[in-house]
Amino acid sequence: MKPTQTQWQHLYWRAGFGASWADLQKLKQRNLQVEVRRLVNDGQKEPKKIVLLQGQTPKLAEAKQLSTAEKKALRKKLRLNVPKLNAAWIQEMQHSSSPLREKMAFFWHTHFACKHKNVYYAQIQLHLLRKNALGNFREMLHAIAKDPAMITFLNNQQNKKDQPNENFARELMELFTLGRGNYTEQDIKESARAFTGWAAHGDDFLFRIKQHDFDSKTFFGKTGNFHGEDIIEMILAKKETALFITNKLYKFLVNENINQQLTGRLADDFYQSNYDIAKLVEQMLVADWFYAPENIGTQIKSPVQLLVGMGKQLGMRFGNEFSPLFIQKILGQVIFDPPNVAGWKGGKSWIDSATLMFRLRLPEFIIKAAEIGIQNKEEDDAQKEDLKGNGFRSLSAEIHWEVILDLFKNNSKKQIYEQMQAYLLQTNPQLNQQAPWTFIQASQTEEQFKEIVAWLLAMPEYQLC
Amino acid sequence: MKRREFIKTSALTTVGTLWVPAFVKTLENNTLPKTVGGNKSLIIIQLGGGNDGLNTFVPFQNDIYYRERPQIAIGTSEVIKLNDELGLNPALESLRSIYEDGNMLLINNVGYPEPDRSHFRSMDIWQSASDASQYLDTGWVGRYLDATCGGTCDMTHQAIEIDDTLSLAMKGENIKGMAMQSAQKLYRTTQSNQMKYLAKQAHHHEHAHSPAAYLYKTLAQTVSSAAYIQEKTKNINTKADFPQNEFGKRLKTISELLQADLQTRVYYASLSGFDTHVNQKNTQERLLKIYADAVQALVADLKKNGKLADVLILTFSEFGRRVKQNGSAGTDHGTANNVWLIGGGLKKAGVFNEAPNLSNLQEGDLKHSVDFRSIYATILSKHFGVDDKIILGKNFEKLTFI
Repeated sequence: MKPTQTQWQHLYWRAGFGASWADLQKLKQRNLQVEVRRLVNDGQKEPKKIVLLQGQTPKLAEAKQLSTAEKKALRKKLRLNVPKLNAAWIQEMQHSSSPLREKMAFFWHTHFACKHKNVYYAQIQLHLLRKNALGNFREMLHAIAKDPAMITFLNNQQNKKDQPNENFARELMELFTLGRGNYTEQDIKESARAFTGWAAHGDDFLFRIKQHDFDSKTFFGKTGNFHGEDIIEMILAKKETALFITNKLYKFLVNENINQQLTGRLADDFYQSNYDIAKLVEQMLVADWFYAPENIGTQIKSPVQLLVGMGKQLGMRFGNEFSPLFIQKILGQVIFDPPNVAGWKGGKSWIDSATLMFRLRLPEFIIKAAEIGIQNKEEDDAQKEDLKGNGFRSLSAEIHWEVILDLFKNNSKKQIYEQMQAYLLQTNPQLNQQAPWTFIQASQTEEQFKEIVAWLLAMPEYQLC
Repeated sequence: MKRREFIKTSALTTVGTLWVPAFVKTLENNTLPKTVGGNKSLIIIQLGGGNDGLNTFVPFQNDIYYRERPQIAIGTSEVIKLNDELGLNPALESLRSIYEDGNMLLINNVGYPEPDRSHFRSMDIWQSASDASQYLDTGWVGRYLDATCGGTCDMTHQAIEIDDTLSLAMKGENIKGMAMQSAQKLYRTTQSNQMKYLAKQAHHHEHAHSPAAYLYKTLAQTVSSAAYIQEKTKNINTKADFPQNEFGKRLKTISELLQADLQTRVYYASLSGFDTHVNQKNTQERLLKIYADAVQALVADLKKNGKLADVLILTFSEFGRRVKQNGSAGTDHGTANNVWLIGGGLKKAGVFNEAPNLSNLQEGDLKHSVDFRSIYATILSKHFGVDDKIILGKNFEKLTFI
C-alpha cells in the first residue's frame, strides 16, 4: 500500500504527536512497512533518562537526620520539580526522533496512572515507562509493581502482614491487567497478602521480610505460598489480560469503538508472543484497516496530543515554560497528575462548553497573542502552592513561520489554503468553499498565510486526528 | 434555496430558518421548551480545602472541644448561640438573621463510609456521589441533567458553574453543564466572526454521531446559550449590595441569572482556601465572613425578588478536620462534617440532628451518621421531583427537610 499524505499524517498522529512539515516531505519518499519498522526499532532502543533534578530520595535513616524544617523544604523541592519534569517530557514529545516511544510511554502513563509528588520517583517511573514502552508487557508489569512511585501511590507501603492494604492488588487486576469481572473479591484479599512487605526504601524497592505474610494463599482456585511475583505470573497466564491490554491500546491508537473481531485476533497473537508490545503495535500500524476512513480524523485529541501536535506542526516554542502546564490544566489533562487511579476517561469527555471554547481560541491566544483572561481553578491544597492560579495573561509563542512560508511564496491563496488544510486537518470541514474568504481578508502574503493557519487551527476539525 | 445562497444571505448576519437545529430555533425565539423541575433551582456552594466544621458551628458546651483545641477554639462568649449546644462562629454574623427567619437548616455528621482524606479524591467522591472505592467519571448534577433531559433538551445552561472551568459534578454522560464567569464574558468569547459562523454549521452534522458532529453541536449550544443568556440578562443589574470580592461577584452573577428566569436548575460556585493546617483562626474566619456576607446579600436579593421560596442553597466541603488541633495552631484533614441548607421552602429549619460526638471518634476523626448522598437524594426527589435512584445508582434514605 502506498499511503496518501493524509494516511502518512494519520500514522504520525497516532504513532506520535503529528508530523512536522519537514517530516512530511521526507515521508512521501518512504515505504510504509519500512517506516513503521523504523519507528518501532527506534522506540525499542533504550532512551536517555530525562533527569530534571540530580540526587535521590533519602532513605528512612537519612530522613531521620533531617529537621522538620529541612524535611518540609525537601518535600517542597521534590514537589515543585514535578511540573518542570512535565514540561521537559512535553519538549521530548515534540522534538524526539522516536515519537512512537514517547507516544507509547504516554499510553503507559495513562494506563499505569500515577499522581506524582516526588520528582525523583517521577523520573524513575517515567524512565521505566519509556524504556519498556515497546518492550515486553510482562517485564514492565513486574517492574511497575516494584516501582517506588506506584508502591507509594497505591498504598503498598502500608500493606503489611497484620494489616493488609488491598489497594494495589485491586488496581493491579481491575485497571492494569484483567478488568472487572475476571476476578473475585476473595482473589483480591488473598493476592494482597502476597504483596505484603513490598515497600519503597528511598528510591529502591525493598522486600520487608518481617512484614510479609508467608502463609498459604488461595488465588484463582489454586493454593500455595504465593509471592507477589507468582500472582503477577498467574494474572499474565490468563488470556483476558492480553485482551484487556489490546482493547485499551486499540482505543488509544485506532478507534474509541472497539472492533472485537480485530482485537480478539490481535490479543491472541499478543498472548502467543508472550506479551511483546512492539509486535502488537507494529501489527496495528501496518494493517490496511488502520488506514481505513473510519479510523482517520475520528479521534478527539487529548489535551497533550493537541498541545504537542500544534507545537510540532508550527515549530512552536512558548515564551513561558509553564504555558503548556497551564493549557493542560484548563483542558483537564495534567501529566503526572491524573484525576484518579483510573486515569483519564478520554474521548468526548474532553469536551464541554468551556474546554471547547478554549481549544478553539487557542490559536488566537498563541498566534495573535490575545489576552487569555481565564484562570485555573484555585487549588484547594495548602501544600500545593506551586499550582496556584498562576496569573497567566498570555500564551504567546515563537512560531517558525519562515520554514513553511517560503514554500508558498509563489502560490495563490487558494492553493495555500488547500495545502494547509491538507496538512493541518485530518478530516475536511463541510463548508462552502467561499466561506473562509469572508473572514480571511489580509492581502499581504505573509499576513494572509497567518490568517489561513489561524482559521484552520480554529476549526472544530482541528480537534480531531 | 441553494446552500451557497444560504450562506451568502444569512449565515453571517442572522440565523436562517432552514437547516437550523431545533434547539437553536427555540433559543432564537426566546421560547424555551418546558423543562423538568418546575421553577425550583439549587445553588451549590463548595468550600474547597476542607472547611473545619467544628469551628464553623461551634459545640460551645463541649469540654472535649476546648481541651483538644487550646489555641483555636472559639470561646463560649463569642459564639452566636443557635441552640444550647451549637453556635455560629462570630465571622458568620451575617447568617444570623437567615437562621432566625427559619430559612436555614444545619445537618451535622455528614460523610460516607471509609472516608478518604485526600482533597482531590474526597472532592471527587462528593462531586460524583460515588462510594469511596468507586471511580465515577460523571457528576451527580450531570447525571441529573442526563436523566431529566433524556436527549430531548439541548441546553447546556440547565446547569451553570460560575467559573472558567467545569467541575466533575456538572458533567453527565451525555449532557454537561456550562462554565462561565459572567454572561458578558461568555458572550464575548463566542463573538468572533469565525465562531459565530461555525456555530451555524452544526446542521450539517445534525443526525450524525461522529466526533465532529459532537464538537459542532457543543459549539452551537454554547454560542446560542451565550446569546440567549446575554439577551435575557442584559437589562438586569441588581442593586443589591454584594461584597466587592470574587465570591461576592459570583453570587451576584447567580442572583442576576436567577432573576432572568433562564430555567437553569443548578448553579455552582466555589470558595477555596479552607485547608487550614497553620494559624487556622485568621484564615478560616476571613473566608467564613466572605462566605456569609455574600450569602446574606444573595438571600436578601432573592427574597426581594420573590425567588427565595423556590431556591435551595447547599453548602458543603470535601471533608471536615481533625478534632484535635495540630502543633501549628491549625487542623489536619478529617472526615465527617456539617452541611447546611438555606432556602425559603424548608420544611424543617434549625438544627436537623445530633451535634458531633467528640467522645466517640475513629482515628481522631468524627464518625458520620448521615450519608451525604441522602441529602442529594432528598433534593433530587423532593426539590426537583425526579427519581433519585437512577441518578445516584442506589437508594438512599430521604430526609425530612423539604
